[in-house]
Amino acid sequence: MTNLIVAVNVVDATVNKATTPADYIDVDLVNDKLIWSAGSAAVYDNCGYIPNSTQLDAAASIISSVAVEVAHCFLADNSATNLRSVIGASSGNNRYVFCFSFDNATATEPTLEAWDTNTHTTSNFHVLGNGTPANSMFHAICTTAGSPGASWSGTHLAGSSKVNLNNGSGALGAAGDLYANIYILIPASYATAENSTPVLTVRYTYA
Amino acid sequence: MKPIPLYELILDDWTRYSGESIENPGFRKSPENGIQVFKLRLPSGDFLMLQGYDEYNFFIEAFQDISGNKEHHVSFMFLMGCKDNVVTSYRIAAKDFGQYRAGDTTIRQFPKGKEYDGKPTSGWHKGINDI
Repeated sequence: MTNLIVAVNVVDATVNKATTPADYIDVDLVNDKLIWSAGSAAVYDNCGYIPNSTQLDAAASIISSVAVEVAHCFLADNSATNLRSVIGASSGNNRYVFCFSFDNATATEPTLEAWDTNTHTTSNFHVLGNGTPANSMFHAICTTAGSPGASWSGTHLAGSSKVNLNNGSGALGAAGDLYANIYILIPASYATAENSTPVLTVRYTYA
Repeated sequence: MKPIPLYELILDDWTRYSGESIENPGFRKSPENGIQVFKLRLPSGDFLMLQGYDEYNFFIEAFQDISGNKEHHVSFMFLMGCKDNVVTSYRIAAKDFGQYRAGDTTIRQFPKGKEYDGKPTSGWHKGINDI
């Protein structure tokens, strides 16, 4: 079986996990959470606790007459009881942000996808484009082969609109690390507020 | 009692190779000396047998959720046979999930190189197609 470890960079988005593993935190895929937030006096990097829902609601991004990029992606690190900012998770030119480590070969190219639930059948949350993937507010890009460039737009992530994590080069022939960057951009004057828990998922195969 | 293998290959020299389980299918490391028959055990306990193809491929699809209500699960088994650059793909639900029941099977044909979501797959093993 091929296993996947997901890690986030919390120090320096110019270094990869192979050379600088200490800059990364492996995500506990059962207990940790990724939280996109504007941040606040109670919701910030290394705050030493995991904010409650009231604190998180108060730190939500505000819909504006101009498009708003959600300022932070945080890892709610359950084992450390701490909130860590995922460094470089933005439309900036940041390459080593989300790391997907496979411990063996795959039969097809792994993909990053976004769905409403863990049945991976619908993408109707507003943040996922309200049923129209091209309108998804999640932007994602593969950075395995290089930096994304400044002010990148990438792929609107939702449903069948997904990102090939090996830069379109196909299956992994052996163990390896793949990278992506992800951010959320709220369109100008968007009509509906939402607090949702979309499922980001990696689809892969093994033989 | 010895567990029933997930699949069995009958090879060119009439030896047999068994794949252990969905978690450890072992197809990638199976012998390369030609497959005469691929016999896959379905969730129902019935068997699906393929023979006569130029090449075979077999792999498991899995999802690892990284946010939201997270889960790791296998979704489908894919058994493929290729003859004259046409891939016949058997996509079999490995368990109950979403609208699928374990064993639900979709059979489709694709040009070689577009057999999985419009893209190629790796790990093909040679078949014996003159039996």
